[in-house]
Amino acid sequence: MEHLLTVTIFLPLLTAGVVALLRNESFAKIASVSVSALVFLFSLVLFLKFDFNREGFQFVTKIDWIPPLGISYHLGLDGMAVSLILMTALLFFGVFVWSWRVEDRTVLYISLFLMLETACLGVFSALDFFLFYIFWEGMLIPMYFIIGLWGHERKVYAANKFFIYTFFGSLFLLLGFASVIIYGYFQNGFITFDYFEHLKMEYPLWLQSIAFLLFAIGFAVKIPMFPVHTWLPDAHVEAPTAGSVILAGVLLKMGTFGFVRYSLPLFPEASERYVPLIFILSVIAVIYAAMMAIAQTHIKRLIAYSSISHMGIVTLGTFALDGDALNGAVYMMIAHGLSSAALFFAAGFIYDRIHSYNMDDLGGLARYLPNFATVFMIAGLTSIGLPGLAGFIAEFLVLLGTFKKYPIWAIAAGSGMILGAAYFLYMYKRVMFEEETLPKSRIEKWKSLRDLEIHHIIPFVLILFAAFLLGLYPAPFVEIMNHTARFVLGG
Amino acid sequence: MESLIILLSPLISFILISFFGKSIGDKISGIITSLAGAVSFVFSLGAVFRSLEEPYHIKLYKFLPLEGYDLSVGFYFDPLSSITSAVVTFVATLIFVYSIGYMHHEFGNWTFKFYAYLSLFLFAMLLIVLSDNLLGIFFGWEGVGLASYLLIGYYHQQLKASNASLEAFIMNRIGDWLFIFGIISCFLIFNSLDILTIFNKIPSADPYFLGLATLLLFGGAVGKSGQLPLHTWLPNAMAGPTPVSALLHAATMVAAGVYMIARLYPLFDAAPQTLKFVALIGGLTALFAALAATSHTDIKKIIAFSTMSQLGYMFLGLGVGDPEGAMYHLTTHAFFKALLFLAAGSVITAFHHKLYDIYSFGGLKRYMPVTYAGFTVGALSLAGVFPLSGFWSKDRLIGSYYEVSLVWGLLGSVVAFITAYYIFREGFVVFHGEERFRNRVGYEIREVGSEMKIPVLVLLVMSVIAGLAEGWYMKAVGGMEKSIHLDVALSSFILASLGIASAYVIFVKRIPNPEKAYSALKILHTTLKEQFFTEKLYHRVLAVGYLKGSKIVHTVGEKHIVDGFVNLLATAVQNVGKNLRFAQPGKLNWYAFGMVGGLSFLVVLLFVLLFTE
Repeated sequence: MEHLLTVTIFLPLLTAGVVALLRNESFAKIASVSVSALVFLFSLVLFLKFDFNREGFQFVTKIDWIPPLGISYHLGLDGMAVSLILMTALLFFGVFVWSWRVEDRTVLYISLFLMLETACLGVFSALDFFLFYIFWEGMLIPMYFIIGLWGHERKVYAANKFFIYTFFGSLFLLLGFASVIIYGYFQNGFITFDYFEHLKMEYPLWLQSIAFLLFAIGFAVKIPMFPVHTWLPDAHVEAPTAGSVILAGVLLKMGTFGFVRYSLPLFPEASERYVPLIFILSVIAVIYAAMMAIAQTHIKRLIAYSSISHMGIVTLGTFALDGDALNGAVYMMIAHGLSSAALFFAAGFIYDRIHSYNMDDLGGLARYLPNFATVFMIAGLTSIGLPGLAGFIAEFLVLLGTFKKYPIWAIAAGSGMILGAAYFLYMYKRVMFEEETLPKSRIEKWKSLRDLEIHHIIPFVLILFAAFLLGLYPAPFVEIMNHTARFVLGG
Repeated sequence: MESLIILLSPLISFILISFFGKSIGDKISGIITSLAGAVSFVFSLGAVFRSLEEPYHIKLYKFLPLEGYDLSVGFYFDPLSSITSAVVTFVATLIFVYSIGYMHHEFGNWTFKFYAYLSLFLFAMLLIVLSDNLLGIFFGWEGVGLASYLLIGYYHQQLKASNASLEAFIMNRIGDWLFIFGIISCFLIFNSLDILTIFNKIPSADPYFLGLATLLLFGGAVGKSGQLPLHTWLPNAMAGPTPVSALLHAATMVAAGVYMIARLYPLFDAAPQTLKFVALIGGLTALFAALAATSHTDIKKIIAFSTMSQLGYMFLGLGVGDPEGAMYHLTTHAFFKALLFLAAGSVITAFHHKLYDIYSFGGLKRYMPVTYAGFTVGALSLAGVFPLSGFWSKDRLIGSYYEVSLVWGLLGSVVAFITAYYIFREGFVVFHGEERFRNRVGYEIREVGSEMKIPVLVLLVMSVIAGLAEGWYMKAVGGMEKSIHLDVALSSFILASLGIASAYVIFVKRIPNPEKAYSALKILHTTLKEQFFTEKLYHRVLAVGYLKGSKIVHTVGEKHIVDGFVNLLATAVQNVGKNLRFAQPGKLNWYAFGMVGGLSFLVVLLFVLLFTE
């Protein structure tokens, strides 16, 4: 029990090693599905055992690793992390089930995803800067290969763009860590990478201002925030379905997670100072990305822009520096993780069946793929924040919390409600409706299409069930997330 | 707790049909939907009797913890909410029964979806009516938005329906955007979302913020009830099947805006500036929509404009301080508007869902006597002819207008005249005169079946007698009893008769020849028919403009400026990296394998260290 968190994090990587050694395709598939199911169960145990009334991090493990440098193997969870871990485990399980039919270099594909899972879980759990950075970079490499090896036509371009961008961001993050560690050395006389040690230091304002910016650039690229967002649509367009799901569902949350975990508690004064900057960028992201979304004809590009728009809501809620808004921001991380994953699964399904992402090649599918039409619609409704589904609670909390101090910003960002409905339903209409405007030959082709199969249904049902649960009974989740808000905002 | 069945019954029906509709069949789905509505109605009646003695609460579970306040799911049954719930479920049930006949020709084609959506629609509406907190109302609010989207776009293979449903959803969302900030403002003012708690705290609230909050809330009502300037979706929503139109216009959806303001009336009462604005929007819409109705030729759209206009009446009533009058008109309107739509639907059914232009019918009274009777009673009631239900409620409203200002009173009277004219224009053109359909259809025109006739007859009776309940209704909801204004009643009656008479002279006696008169007044006619070109304006400027603007920003701003800069950077980096030959796909496999292997080794080491401690 003591090492449950460690086991949860590293089990996938261990499996990756075994899978890579055995190089047996069917074993790889079975192992990945069962191990990710086990990881999901473990994270569920963590989530249920998490006591949100007790202050401070839980499931803490601390072992000296490189003592002379003050580096330790230090893990622990707060309310936000435990929620994100649960969502991550859910999405990875979904991805492995979805990948049941993968034929192309299966063993490598599955080991890379298993590695990625470890890295993602690790980022949320690490409480040591060094450990965090290893997981952070460890995420980058498998993703690079996934896009570069299993992507579509321009995969190498997209993979390189993804790599250069995020690597560039990571460099700034590295500089940020370096600056505070060096400061700590001169201040205390010893080097430490420990999160809590640094929390105690209370950096002076000049350092906060510099370090905040360095961290913020690193996180902003990952989120991504306007104007460093252009890698995301390209990466999504070229990535294979499972890659897109993890990219949108989990990887984008790293940046916002970083803001909440590192920027706000370590640099509280600087965070307050930079509120106007972040707000401007967030509101631009919400509106601008929604405009970009409606201009697209490529399904995945549209969903990618919708992600940027939603992440604008997250950064807005994070920097409103209010309990409700921060709960909303974390809620949005989960809700968006679910909705974007479901939407990218949907896009992937369309591609599997019709081999096109282009809306001009589609249309009128609703009648021929009725089950798919339903899940696609629910996924979209989650994304556009329909009450009863997860996205609405998140949006409501963020707007409510932001409105308290910044009503104009909240109303401006709230327009995302309208623009979001516009781009999603406009896409849905072009993909699923309006049969009468199509050429006859296309309808003939549609008639032979096969609706959802079991390996599609399982991920969809799990994700949408979670979306309904979070939308209809948010109280326990908000309470867990409020654990983080109390810690971060000191309330 | 048994009052919860009111809500649960349509919800269960929705879930049941969604999951098992295919196996239980379309007809059974329709029957389940109707039964669910009926059960809901019966329990609503129970709630009416209980709440007349004493209003009561049902609290379910803690929903959302906010800073300093925990929101629970709860429902509040007072006479206003329970009577509205009874009316809604009654009318809805009749429409559901009717729809079994109306959709009959589509059975076998996934029609159970239609019934699932109908149940969802009813459930969402009841959520609005019965919720005891603002967020609960918003859940229902968006729920009816979704259900109407699905139902308007039911014939989604048609471009027209798919566009109309999109437009309805977006227009509603614009209203909802304001509405949600109204709710948020209320929370910040009162630190509660509970309606009753909010009412208790009104005296201590800052009137300025209260004005703002109510204005935002009203924004939601404008969107949902199709008032100016968010009105264009309402006539276009006629693309859905006729029972949907009836449901949308009689019991659910558009009534929600009026009901919401009546429900939160103490809040609006404390913000007199907002009420003036409500009155202004209501009055303008009443006139605007009535004018549009005079010139339109679509059998359903005329009735749709009439709804818009009547809702304007109700908002004007709310604005001048007579919420009970407005709610009462909402109730009578639910009966006669449903009746008009169902009659129109019967005509459409008789013509195999092919003809919609009123000038393609004519002389139908011989073939469809029940429908004719239904339509005529509905029209008389709408026109406010004594002693039908519309007379009583409209008279009360117009009386209230005159009490506040002569301008509103005169507006009410003028619109009453126009109303009588346009609805009888439709009636005379469709049911009287020459049989213009003769050279278009080869089949015999027959009266519709009994599952469609019975709802029409029931609604016919209700449209006649609902006026008698005015005294009881006012006492129940705590409204002021107003004695009949004899002067207003008389003048309204004369105006209504004049309206009917002019429609008769023009469209039956053909003095002057209506076709010639229309072409002579073509400019005026087109202006009115096109709703003063507001729809075209919205479409060209807002919809197409936004889309084109976004595309231009995308090509210029995104691709060239934002991305262009980055690509420049990337090319530079790549040129450096070329020598390293890092990104060659062939070798990537080996790199990747190497990495997996190495890392796994490290992990094994870690595990060994951890567990041998």
